[in-house]
Amino acid sequence: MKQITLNKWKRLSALLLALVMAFALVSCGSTSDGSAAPSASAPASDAEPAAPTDSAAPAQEGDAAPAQESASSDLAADQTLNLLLSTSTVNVLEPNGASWVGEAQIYAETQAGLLRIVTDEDGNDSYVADGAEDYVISDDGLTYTFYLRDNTWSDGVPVTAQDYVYSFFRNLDPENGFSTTQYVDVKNAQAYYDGEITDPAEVGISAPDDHTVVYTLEHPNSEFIYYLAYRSGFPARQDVIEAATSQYGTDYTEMVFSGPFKITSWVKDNSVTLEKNETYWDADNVYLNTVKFQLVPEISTQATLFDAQQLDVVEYNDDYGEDWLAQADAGQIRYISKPGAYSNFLMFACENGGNSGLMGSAKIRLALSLAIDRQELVDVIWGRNEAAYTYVPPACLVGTTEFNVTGEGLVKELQAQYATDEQLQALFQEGLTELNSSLALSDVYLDFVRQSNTLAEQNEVEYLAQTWERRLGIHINVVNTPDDEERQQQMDYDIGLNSWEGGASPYDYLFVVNVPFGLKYLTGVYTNEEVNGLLANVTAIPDETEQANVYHQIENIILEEGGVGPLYFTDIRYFVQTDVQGLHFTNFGAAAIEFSHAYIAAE
Amino acid sequence: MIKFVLRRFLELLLALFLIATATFFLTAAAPGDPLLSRTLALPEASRDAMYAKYGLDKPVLERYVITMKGMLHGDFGESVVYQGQTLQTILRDKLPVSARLGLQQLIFGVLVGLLLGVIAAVKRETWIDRCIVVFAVLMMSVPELVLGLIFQKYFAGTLKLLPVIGWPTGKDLWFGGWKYTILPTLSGGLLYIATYSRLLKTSILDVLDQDYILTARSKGLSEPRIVWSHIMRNSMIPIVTRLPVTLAMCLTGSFMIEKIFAIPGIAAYFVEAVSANDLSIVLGETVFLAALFITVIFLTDILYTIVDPRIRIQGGKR
Repeated sequence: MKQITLNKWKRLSALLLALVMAFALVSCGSTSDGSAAPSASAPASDAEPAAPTDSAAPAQEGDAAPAQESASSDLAADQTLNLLLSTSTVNVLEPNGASWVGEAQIYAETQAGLLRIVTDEDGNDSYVADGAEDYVISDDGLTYTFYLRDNTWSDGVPVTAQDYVYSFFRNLDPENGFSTTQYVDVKNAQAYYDGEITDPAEVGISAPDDHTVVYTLEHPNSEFIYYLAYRSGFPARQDVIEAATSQYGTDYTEMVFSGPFKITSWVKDNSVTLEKNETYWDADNVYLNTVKFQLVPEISTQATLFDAQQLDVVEYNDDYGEDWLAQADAGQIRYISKPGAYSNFLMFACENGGNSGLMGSAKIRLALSLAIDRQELVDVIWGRNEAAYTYVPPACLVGTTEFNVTGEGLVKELQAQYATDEQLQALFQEGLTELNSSLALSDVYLDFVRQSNTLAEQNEVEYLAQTWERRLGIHINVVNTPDDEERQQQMDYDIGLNSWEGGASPYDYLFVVNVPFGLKYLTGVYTNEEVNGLLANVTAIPDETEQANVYHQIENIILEEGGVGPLYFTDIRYFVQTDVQGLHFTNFGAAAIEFSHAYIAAE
Repeated sequence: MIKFVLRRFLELLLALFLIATATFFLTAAAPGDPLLSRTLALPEASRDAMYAKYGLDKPVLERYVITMKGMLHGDFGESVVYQGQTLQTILRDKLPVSARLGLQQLIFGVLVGLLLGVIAAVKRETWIDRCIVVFAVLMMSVPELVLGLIFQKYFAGTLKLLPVIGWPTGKDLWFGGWKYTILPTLSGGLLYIATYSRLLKTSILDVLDQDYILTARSKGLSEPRIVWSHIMRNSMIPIVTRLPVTLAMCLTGSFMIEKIFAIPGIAAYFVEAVSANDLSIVLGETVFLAALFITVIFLTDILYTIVDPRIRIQGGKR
């Protein structure tokens, strides 16, 4: 939890940034004219509409929504779900303006985007149609046509295609400070944002009628459909937003809702209460009447609440985990555990060589990366998480194809090649020689700059520093700073730690290294022209296998050059009360806990 | 007296000005950019618009002038972290919550504390006195965080007598939802019991040894008259003069209690504001708290003269 809190902004900013990358695509002008099938994990094909899931929520962890005819007998009388409110900022509860995970959790359940992210039988993220009934992607991969359902806002006004178009242009207004990045693939969206064109009709989005939204792209992009499952594909009501007296989304009494729930109470920094939205198109299959989010920063209070069954879902934590695991074994509660999507890695000050001037060397970076025994790190220091031998987590898919495999990867193969301390030292020494440095290993001093908020984080830093000193014979100067992000921006370090959670596709992890379009400081401004060139074209590749190969090619270059040194993937661990059924724990969904079709089972 | 009040008022303004200036420059110089994480992912134009919105695109001195001008009108600016919120909206929403919690703790704690103080003094050197002393020392030593968690776990978690968390809001803000307030009141109020029982006991014992009590007795005054007119009145001086500061402190909340019981009060918010580098709110809260405490100290000085006529304010009549 702390890890996630520390990096809370990254999760959503991944989405925002994803389209910054699209600038690269536009500027490179290297688009493919060939037909492109979407390769994100959407249940869509060129001509076939998405399968709507009107009847029941897909299963998760063996849960199934109650069959409609027997629903009433399966359901407890009190359909109230109690969840924790995110400790990240919760202040803007509408899709366009939200920036943080806690805000996304709520807008995703109170608005109906075109698509909704759930998990499939294997626990992987997948899409179901929500605001849209079905959609068609043209053979050339340039036109996305969405056919909307008959859905109604909570004030009784029908949801129209124009609401989606308005939401689009709202994001494209720089004055709002919203994310525009996910739209940049849309024809002329960038020019409109830059003020080069002012006529909305020239931009590639239109509403030919009240039930149809058409997006036209500059070039094919397999990622685009994926963005629409996030804030890009949510509707916004112009009349309501313009009538609001405060910034829309900060006062629930001025808001309208198109999703399964509506906000009925909100005590800032304390609690948010949702109630079933009877005007939602699928309200018959929404079983929960009330969902209470409560901010409980104190872990022991969370435990007391969970033990008293006043909280339905709680994250694993070291103090209470063992006790709860025992309860889960006894069948008193349920334990949910799955590989997560947070990639935690070593970063190196590539741009300026860092304070030592040595970090420009790929061999030195690689030696530092390979010196770390990932399995020992997760076993000894964390007692959880998955050792990472790739940068892209195994949770990512290319289309429907598996990409990386847990416990395997190039880093592991390279570690076998450089297994001994002598081999690693020789590699480091080669790096020094290439830099024309006369330093002996024992004269090397590296600044390892890290913000350590918890004991485990401090232990991790010490473990890494000692490992480098022991195996490589160099000196590590550990700097614990209250703001390592700022040091990273100023390139005032040699080695740092960072983490990233992107979207469901490898692209959302790899694009960040595409300087200057990605998140350059996240990886110490590691840059490689070949990587940039491959990234510019990869999303237009229609064939999933071919696309996966290119992603592997990109990732391997980054790993071989020590662009980042992957360490571990944070896993997802929850405990859930046994009577709560139908929850989806998504890796990449706007709602981390998707509960739109969950229910409380009768005892 | 008027001269005294006037001088104190001018001192208050000067102190607030200095405090605001120091806070402004300290926060401006502190590492960390409050908008960094919110805007890092935004394209250039959107990012610039955000910095311009909060005035953070301007040089520090210019921002200082703008801030000071705004301050004259009570406008500290919008929260950088919580869009749409200002110091006023935060105080409006959160101060009453913290104030009720603090007042309940104070009233409960001080009343019980004074009662125990009298009992301990009257029964001094008996087992009752010793029990009270041990209890007081224990309560002063155990942090309220620990007390709160223990009470919560047993009274709410195990015995299920009271809610684990929560706080009355809306129409129940001041006079409803009592069951939610019991554990937080107890957890924070015990410290007041400990403090005030010890204070009053010491004070009473001190007064008992004074010559004027002996004089009163030798004059043949009745025992109740001695107790009420001489012992209690003089013993209360340290209590009365301490109360205003306690009151000011309790109004602004208790970070730990609010955190444990998920109370939407102001203390937790202020701590958050500092860690999140929420410039306008940090400045606003500092000035607000400074004004509150300076005023309270001023009132305390006045109170001294009322409860103890022997004390005269300099510049006043002799």
